[in-house]
Amino acid sequence: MTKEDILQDLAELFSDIFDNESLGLNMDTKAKDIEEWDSLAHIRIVVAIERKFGIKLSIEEMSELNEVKAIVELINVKLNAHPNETI
Amino acid sequence: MKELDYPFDSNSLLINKKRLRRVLLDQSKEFSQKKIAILSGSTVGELQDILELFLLNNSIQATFLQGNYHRYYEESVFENQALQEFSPDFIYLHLTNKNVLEIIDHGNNQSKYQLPSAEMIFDHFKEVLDALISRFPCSIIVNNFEPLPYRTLGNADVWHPFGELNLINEVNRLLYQYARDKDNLYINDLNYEAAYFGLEKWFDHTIWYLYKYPFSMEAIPWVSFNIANIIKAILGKNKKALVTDLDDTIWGGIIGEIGAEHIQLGPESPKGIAYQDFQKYLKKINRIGIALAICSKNEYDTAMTGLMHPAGVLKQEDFLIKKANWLPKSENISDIANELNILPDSIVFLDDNPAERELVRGTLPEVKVPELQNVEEYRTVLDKSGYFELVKLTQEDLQRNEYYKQNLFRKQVELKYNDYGDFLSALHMEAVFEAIDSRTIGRVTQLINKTNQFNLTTIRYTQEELDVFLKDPLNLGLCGSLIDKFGDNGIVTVLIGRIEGENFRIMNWIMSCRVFKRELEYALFDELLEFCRSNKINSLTGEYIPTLKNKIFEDFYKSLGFQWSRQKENVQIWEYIIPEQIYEKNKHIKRSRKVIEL
Repeated sequence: MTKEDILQDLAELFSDIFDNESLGLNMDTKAKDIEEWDSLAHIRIVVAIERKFGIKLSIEEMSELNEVKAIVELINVKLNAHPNETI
Repeated sequence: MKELDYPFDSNSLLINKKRLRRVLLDQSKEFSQKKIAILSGSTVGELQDILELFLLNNSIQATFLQGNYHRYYEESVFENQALQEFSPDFIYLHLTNKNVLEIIDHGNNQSKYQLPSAEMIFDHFKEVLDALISRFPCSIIVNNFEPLPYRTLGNADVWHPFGELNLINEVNRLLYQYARDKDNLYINDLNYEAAYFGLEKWFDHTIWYLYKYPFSMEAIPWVSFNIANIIKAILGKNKKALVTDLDDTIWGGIIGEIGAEHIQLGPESPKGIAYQDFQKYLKKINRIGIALAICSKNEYDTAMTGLMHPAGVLKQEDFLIKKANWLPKSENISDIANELNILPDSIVFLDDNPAERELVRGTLPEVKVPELQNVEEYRTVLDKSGYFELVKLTQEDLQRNEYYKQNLFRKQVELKYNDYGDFLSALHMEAVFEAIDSRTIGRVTQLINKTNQFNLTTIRYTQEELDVFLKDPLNLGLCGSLIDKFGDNGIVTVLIGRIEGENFRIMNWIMSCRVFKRELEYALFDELLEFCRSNKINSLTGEYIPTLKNKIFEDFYKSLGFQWSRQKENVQIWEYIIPEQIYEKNKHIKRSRKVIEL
C-alpha cells in the first residue's frame, strides 16, 4: 500500500464518518480544519482506522493523531513494519 | 431498517451513524417523542448516538439529557434542577464494573487482603436508585455489573470469599432482589451482554485509559441495542404474534414430497434434534403470551400430519391459526392479523425461503421478517432480535392465548347469525366497571401503553404516573372487563378524566381491539353518564388526538352524540350536554359496577 492508497482509504472513511462527500481531505488537513472533528469524532476515527487497516494503536499514538499527515505516516509505518500482522 | 436489525455490523454502524440517522429521520413515519436522561458512570459518548439510531428504528425519536462525566451519584442523590426540568420519560444509569472497582479499590491499601462486603457496595447504588425512584415517576434502566478483566485468584475468583468476581456476582444478586418489587426499575443485563460479546473483545484498555470508555467501541451498538429493546418494550412496542412456515422452518424437509414419516424432527438425525430444539424454544415463547400461527404452502391435511409427528413439540392446538394453502403468504398473514385483531406491525414472520421472505417484506413492510440461514441458528436470530423483550409478565400475558382462542370461537359463532344484534345478544355479555385500584393498575397501565387503535389521545402513563394521577380526588380512572358465554376477556377498556366544575373532561378512552364491535363503548358511556348524574355533572368534553393508527375512530365522539367544539393545538375537543332523560345506547350488555368512589 502506498501513501496515496492510504490517503484514499482514509478519505473514504472520513466521508462516511462525517456523512460528507466533499471534505476535500489532503495531506495538509488538520483536525482544526474540520468543524465536526471534535474529541468524540476523534475516538471514532482512530478506532475505525484500527479496524480498517488492521493495526493496533497505543495510548500515545491515538492521542497524537490529529493531522492527516501524521495519520498516514503512522499507518504506513505500521503496515510496512508488520505486513502480515492482523492486529 | 436492515442495518439496524440483528445481526448488525457494529463497525459499520459506528462509521455510518450520521448517514443512518439522516435516512431514519427522512422516513415518513410517525415517531413517538421521548425524553431520555443518561447519567454517567464513565464516558457515555457514542452510546447515546447509537442508542438514538436503534430507537428511531423503533419509531421512537429521543431527546437526550446527558449528565456530567462520572457524576451519576451527585446528579441522583442531590437536588438536580436540570433533570427535574427536563422531566425525563426514561433515565438510563450508565454504570459498569468500573464503578464497583472504584469502591473496592478505595482505601484498599492494607497489606492484608480485604474486600468490602457486597451489602456495603450495593448500598452505594441503592442510595442512587432510591433517590431517583423517589423523585422521578418515570422508567429507570440500570445496568448490572460485568466481570472484571482479571481474576486475581484465577478460577477461584468466582467462589472464594476473597474473589472480586464472587463479590460482583453477589452485588448483582442484591440488585435483582432490590429491583423485583420496583415497578419502574428495569435491569439491562450488561453482564450477559459482555459475556455474549466476548469478554476478551469487550475490554479495550487503551480507550479506557485515554478516553474512559468502559468497554470497546465495537460493543457499544450491542449494548445500545439492548437498552433500546427495553425502552421499546416498556412503550408497548413488542411484537405480539409469530407466524411461521412449516417445511424447513419447524421441521426438515418438504412434507408434501416426503411424507410425515420422513421429515427431520427428533433424535433420529442431528438436524432433527435442531428442529426439535427450535420447536421447544417457540413453545417457550408461546407460554409467555406470544401467539403462534402457521402460514405454509401445503395441503392443509398434509401439513397437519407434520404436527402429529411424535417427536414434535408443537401440536396443532399450539397454533391459533393454521393457514396451509396455496394463496400468497402476504394475503394469509394479513388475514391472520385480522383474525387476531392485531396490526401487521405486531407480527414476526419466519420462513426459510428467501424468496418468500422478500415477497412478504415487499407487500407487508410493517411485518418483521428476520433473515434465516441454517436451522442451528434460527433460535439465535429470533432470540437476539429482541422482538419479545419482557418487561412485565402479567396474568393477562400468561392467559393471552386463551383470550385469542375465545375470540376465534366468537368469530365462528358470529358467522351463524344474519342479524348482528341477535349475535350480540346471544353472547350473553356482562361488563363490570370499577375504579382503577392497586389490583388492576398493572393491567390498566399495560393497556394504556400497548393500545394504539382505539386510543383516543394516545397519552401514555407509567404505572407511577397513573398512580399519582389517580390520587387527585378530582381525577377519575375507570376500567371495565367484559365477560361473555365463551369466557372472560379480562380488563379491556379504560377511561380517564377529570371533574372540572360541572363538566367532566374525558382525557383518554381506550379499548382493546379484542372487544371491538361488541358495543362495549356504549356500556361504558352509559356508566359514565350515570356517574355524572350522581355527581351533579351536566356536561362532558371528549378529547381526540389523531394518529395514523387511531384514525378509524376520529368520529367516535360524534357517533355518541357529541358536538364539535374546537381545536386546541393538535387536540380536537367535542362537547356533550347530558340530557334530562338518558336513553341507554347499550342494548346487549348487562352492566354492573363495583362501587366507584370519588
